[in-house]
Amino acid sequence: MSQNRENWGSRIGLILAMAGNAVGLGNFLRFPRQAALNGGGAFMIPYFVAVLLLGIPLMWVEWAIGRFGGSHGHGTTPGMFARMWRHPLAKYLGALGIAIPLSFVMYYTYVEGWTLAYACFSAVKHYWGVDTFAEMSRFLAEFQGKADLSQGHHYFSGVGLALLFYCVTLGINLFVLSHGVAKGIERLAKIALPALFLFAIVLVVRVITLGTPDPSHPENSVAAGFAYIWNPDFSMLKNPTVWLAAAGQIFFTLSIGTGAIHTYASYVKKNDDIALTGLSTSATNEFAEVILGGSIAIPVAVAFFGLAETQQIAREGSFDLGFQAMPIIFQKMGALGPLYGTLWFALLFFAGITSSVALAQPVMAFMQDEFRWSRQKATFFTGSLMAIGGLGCVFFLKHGFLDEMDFWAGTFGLVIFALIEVLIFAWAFGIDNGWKEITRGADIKVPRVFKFIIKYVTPVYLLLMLVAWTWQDAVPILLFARQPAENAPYPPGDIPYVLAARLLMLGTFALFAVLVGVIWRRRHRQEGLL
Amino acid sequence: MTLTWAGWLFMLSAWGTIAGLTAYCMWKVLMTTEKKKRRGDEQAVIITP
Repeated sequence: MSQNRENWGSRIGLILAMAGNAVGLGNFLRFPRQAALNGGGAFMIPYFVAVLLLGIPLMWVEWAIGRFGGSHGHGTTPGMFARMWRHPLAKYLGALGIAIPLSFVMYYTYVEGWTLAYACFSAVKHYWGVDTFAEMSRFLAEFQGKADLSQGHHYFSGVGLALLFYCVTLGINLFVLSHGVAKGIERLAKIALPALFLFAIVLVVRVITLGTPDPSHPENSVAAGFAYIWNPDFSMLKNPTVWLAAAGQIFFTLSIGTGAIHTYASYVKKNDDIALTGLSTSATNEFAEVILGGSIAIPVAVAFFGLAETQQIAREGSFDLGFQAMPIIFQKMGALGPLYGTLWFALLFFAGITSSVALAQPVMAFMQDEFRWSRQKATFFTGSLMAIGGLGCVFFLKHGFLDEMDFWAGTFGLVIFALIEVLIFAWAFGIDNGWKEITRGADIKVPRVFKFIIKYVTPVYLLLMLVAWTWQDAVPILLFARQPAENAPYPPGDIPYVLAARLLMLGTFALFAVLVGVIWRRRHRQEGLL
Repeated sequence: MTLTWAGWLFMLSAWGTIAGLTAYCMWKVLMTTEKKKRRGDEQAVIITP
């Protein structure tokens, strides 16, 4: 295949776009919670082990697959896998690299819409006066359309406003995608990433200088918050679930196994460096996660609510921390509270949108590269598919629609896809060929030990994760014995909605598998005629 | 609850490692980009008799 594909405008733009893909809501909401719940400072041991054995190797593997595919005119994994593994199955396995990020972005855009809405609510003090957890929980539930409104409503009469913010968010995403890689995604990253870091640094400085907000409770301080995150509990290291949680966090944080990195890397020129650029992306992401993400939500929550209540909030979930605890805190921060609230939610929105455009780009690239569609046509198609799943999340959130998609597409699917890609790269394509791809044009010397890690250690690590997650989560969830977000069986009334979510994800995969079959048959026919 | 010496150690070593690696990567990216740009400029010089 030969055609003129887009390229990144600059190397720094590429790094910012890739870092924007990696830095997401998980960096600021999920990481501090995971660290606090899984042994504090000791969590960093399995976390760094996972960075070294999973994160960085898979990052290089995905960059190498992407650049290799791009040099053959393929921006998505069906074409890339088919080039690397001459087996009829390869291209269909590659369809996962489009279906997974598409399913992911369907619900992710909706959550992103909440952050935009809350940034506006903070700016106009819409939730000012809602200052207890029970009321803030009611505020969020009414906004999301989860609350029972039969007894009347206090804040929102329905899901209309959430729908409006979802549509605006979807529109912004599509606007960026319609402008292409250099003029859309790269330009967004050049604005959003520096703004995100600036907002985060302002918030970290404010949190650190809070000290003890209420002198009558000297035990509630920012220092106690840092102690909660960082004091190590070594006994937790013996617990396999802590190692699993650390490995899972690496997937979320680096956006590995989504298919998005492959597509971004496909726009890199054949002999351009990927080793240093990939490492820079990982390092920037870790900076945002460990240094900035770990220094905002939990320390400030401990300073205002105390340790016991923060532990309770952390156990309840990442969204409780971000959308319930933080708005209450901003109200206690004096005249600048609305500003800090706006910065916090704007930060989350920027983190979200730089990830969501990356997740949507594989569909765009597939339709443009394989079907030669125009960018506008591909944007319309991608937007329509995103809207189908997104509207399902808007209207059926309370029935577990979003949680179901989050588990299968945003958690379990990532590990399956990562295992497939590393096996194709290291075993089918061959580790010697793969190593040449990683090191070609490299601006740093990649330690040779990674060749061994990629071939043996990473696949075994992934296999163990997959077996553990299948046993622990996937089987009970599949059989409706336990919900993804709660340790309780599915309410019988929710099962049709959950099945609809599963059908949607399967349908997405089936659609792209069929499209892959169609385009490959068409290509074979054309080659046969020639 | 206060940060223990082990807590400080974990926090500062994690922050130091990550900040150091990020700074090194960014420095290296800027250096190599600049070097490649210079090399490109040098190649573009046409000496006419």
